[in-house]
Amino acid sequence: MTIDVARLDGVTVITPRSERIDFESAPELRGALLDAIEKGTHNLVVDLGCVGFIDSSGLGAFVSAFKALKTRNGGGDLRLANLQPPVVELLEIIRLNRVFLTYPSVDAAADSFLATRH
Amino acid sequence: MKAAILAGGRGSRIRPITETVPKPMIPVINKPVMEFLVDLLRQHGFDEIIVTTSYLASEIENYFHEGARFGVRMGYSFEGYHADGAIFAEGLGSAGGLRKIQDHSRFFDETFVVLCGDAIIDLDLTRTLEVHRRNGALATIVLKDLPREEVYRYGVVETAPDGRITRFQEKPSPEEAVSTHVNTGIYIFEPDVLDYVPPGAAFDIGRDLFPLLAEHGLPFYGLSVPFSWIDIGCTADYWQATAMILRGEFKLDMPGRELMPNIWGGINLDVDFGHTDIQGPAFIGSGTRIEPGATIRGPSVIGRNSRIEAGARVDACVIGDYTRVTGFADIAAKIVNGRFCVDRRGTWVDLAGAGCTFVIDDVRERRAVTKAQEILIEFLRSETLPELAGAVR
Repeated sequence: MTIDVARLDGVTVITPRSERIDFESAPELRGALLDAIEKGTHNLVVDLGCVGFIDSSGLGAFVSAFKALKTRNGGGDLRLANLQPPVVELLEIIRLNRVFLTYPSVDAAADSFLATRH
Repeated sequence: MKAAILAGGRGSRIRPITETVPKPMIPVINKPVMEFLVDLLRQHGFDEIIVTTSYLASEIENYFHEGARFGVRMGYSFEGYHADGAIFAEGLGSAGGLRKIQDHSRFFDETFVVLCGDAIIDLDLTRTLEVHRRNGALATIVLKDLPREEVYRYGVVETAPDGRITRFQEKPSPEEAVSTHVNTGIYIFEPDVLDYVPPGAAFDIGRDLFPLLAEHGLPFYGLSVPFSWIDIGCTADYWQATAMILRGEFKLDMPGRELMPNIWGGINLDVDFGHTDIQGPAFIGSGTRIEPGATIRGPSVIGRNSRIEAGARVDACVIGDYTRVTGFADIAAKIVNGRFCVDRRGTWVDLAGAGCTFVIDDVRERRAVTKAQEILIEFLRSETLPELAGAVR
């Protein structure tokens, strides 16, 4: 899986270029997220525009990143952008949409950090 | 009197529910759609019913058998064949299927009714038959007036003032539609109408037969009578049908007993109404357990032998049989069928495929929790349900 990483005005945008994030591809995504956190970012946006399916391993990658942001960098947040309907559904069913805020675009997600810039 | 029910469709617009259940067997308040039709036919004296089957035929045949339990006599005409252990549908079309029955035994030897197996109706069939006979019709279609933006899913007819059909369009765009009177899939036919169907060929009632009858100027009538018609064509329809029946907008005898105001249920229930937050209208199937601390908002149906656990929130949902909904679940306006959770737009999530069986699963399954699930479960407990920590297993 290709994962693009971009810095955008104090926000790191991670874009997995895969239709599926499952037990095979989730470790790579987790690695990319933790790597960005290691480098000191507080504000993470994951662009899920390509992703039509995500499983518990993929959600686990978000959880690892979320925890790392809170413990290692003393704060920060992980926000999700460009979600496809089945991914939105899954997050809503298990109430994860209350933890990982979702936005219709990367710009909207990045802008959301402006008010709460660390 | 004789009737035919067309029950062979694949039901692709209501996937993935139809992966395991053929459309006529989809339960509406725990009763298959087609059973409502069999009941209606019997009430109006139609006691010999032939059912055309194909996709998941045995699900239908093993439920209705010879019809004795339903007070009618039933038979089946299977359209397809088995090869290499698989079942293949044979595309005879709806009219071709009726012609096949006629060629087999001349079954249709008097005026007969044809119903599509995927709608719930309360039509006065006796009166419809009278009008058909008074018109001297070869074929009569029961019509319904719909908003123009909805007609694209149906056959649209243009009628003369005396009810004769002058034009028939199959699924036109709203702009092209010649009227807003749509074909409900309820027909009264004379046996002679089948002479216009070529034997052994694919021929559809809406696409092929009706335009032919209209073209030839045959006594082909449309009849608009007031009746309720709930077409279970797509996922939204299914959800809507269930909600309408629960709200009492479609008169129907609710199964089971009214346990509390607006809450009906079967037998052998484990529900402590003092400690569960249930607001009707709701139906709870036999053998189901609703744990203290669960929240249910109507209109909702919970299937048989299911379990709604502490912390779960179920709002305006149809939950299938043998379904476990755990405290991690918050589902609104969903249809839960086995491993699938489907919303009204038809967007679905395969919870087993996504490794989220700790949220919704078959209650009979015993599964080991994976490492990834364990991490997620722990996280959900602390982050999403602090008020319920401890209550959720």
